Amino acid sequence: MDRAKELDLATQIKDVMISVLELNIGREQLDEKVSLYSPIVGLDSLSLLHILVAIEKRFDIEIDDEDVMSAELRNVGSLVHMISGVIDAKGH
Amino acid sequence: MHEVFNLDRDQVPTHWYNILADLPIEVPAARSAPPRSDREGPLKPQLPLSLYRQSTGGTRFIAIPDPVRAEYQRWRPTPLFRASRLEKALDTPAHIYFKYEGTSPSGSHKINTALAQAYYYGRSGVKEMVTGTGAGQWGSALAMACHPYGMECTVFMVRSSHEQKPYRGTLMRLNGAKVITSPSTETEVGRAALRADPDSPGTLGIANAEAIEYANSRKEARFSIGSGENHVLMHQTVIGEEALLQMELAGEFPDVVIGAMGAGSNFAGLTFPFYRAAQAENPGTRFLAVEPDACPKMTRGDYLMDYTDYSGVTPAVKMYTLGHRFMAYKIHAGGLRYHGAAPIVSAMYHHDMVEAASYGQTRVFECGAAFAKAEGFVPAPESAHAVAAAIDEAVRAREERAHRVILFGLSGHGLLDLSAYESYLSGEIVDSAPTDEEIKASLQPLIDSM
Repeated sequence: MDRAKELDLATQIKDVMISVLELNIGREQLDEKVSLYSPIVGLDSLSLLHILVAIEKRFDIEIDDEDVMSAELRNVGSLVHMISGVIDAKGH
Repeated sequence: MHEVFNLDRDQVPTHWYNILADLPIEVPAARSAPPRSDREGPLKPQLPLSLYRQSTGGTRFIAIPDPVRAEYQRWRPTPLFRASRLEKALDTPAHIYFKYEGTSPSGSHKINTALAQAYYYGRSGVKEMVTGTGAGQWGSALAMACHPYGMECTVFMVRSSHEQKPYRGTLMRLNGAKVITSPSTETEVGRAALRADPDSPGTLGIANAEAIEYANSRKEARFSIGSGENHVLMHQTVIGEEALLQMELAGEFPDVVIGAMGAGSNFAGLTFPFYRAAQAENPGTRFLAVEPDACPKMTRGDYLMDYTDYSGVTPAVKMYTLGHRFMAYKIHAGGLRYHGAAPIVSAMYHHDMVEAASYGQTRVFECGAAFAKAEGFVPAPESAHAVAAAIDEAVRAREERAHRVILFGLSGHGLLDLSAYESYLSGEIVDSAPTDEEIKASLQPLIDSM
């Protein structure tokens, strides 16, 4: 995946996160190093699934269970990386 | 007169039924637990995305994966019986039918969702399933279901049930599961519960909370639940889908469908397909959930947002509840001691689409024993709640001189519960129920937090 596409995907994924989690923040505040447990994001297992289903709808893909279960999700960057990888592998 | 209605192996349902596609009411969505910035380690989704999609989607029928259906076909379709000897004993004009799930390898309906969940978790790369179990039916079902997918199984079993039903623990261990009595010293949740009460009988809420903590501490382990979640209810609809065909063979449609109510998967599994069919066949059909007096979440609880586990780390759902810290009195029907009713069943009850009744243990065992004497099948104490309600319906039909078709779910056999029946025969069964003050005290923190 080239850098421009990577950045574009990251932007779209962060937009989905902000929308699904109803975060009252700008995209730039979702820095890659921000912990998923931080008060800014406040992610849990359920809201992660909400985000993934929204991603599926937006990109018209089906995410495999194994991709999600095997991911090491600690911060915004790792979540964006996991989702970008799945979208890229699906040929988008 | 036919007394048993069997289907062929190829009539095992090909699809699960998702009632969300047909309900004219809204089932409130689950709400995430409050954020906890003190959490450490990676965020681990506990539920495979496939199961989440099944829980929230609007697709009416979901295809059962071939490997799961092949497992079902090892013992399904389960039989549906006409309880003609019970009818005779009751001298009732009512026709009584029961769908029997006790023929499964684990002896109850629980394996219908255990196999489905094990398939999805195994496919996701999970190596160990961790769960809490009340009476042990769910734990033994999950222990068996993990085998085809090469997964380990760890079960936190409620202490009171483990003491009452030690052979359930044996059954789980025979299937390779690690069985831990809950509250335990293995987890912080368990240690806290034991500090509060060293003799705590435990609850399913505590066992589940321990299982969640334990699973979170192990990289390739995941927590799984066998009762009130939407996807669990959906997996159990194979019961009702088969029973629909079997009632067709019998040439009747039920006026009332009855199921014992723990968190709701047994009740929903039988009743939901009949709810769909009743819209055309018999709109007057009633659906009756039967719970114990000792844990009256529907008949005496409130419709509130509450957590499904004791520690409150799970998402909150809108349900009829006695509060997630409610400590039900010890009863032999340990599978019915759960504090809340499934969100879908709760929403239907809230909108008067299903009814609920509660029974004391003495009456439940009296009816369970009468059923065993008439029909030969010993019902699990949980299932005997449905038997009791079916008998009362049949007696009312006799008093009203009315023809009535009654269908109930016999969700499991009671052959591992004979000590409970021994207590009944010895006159040692006692009725117990929480006081209004106890229920109010348990619910108040929830009401205050809203």
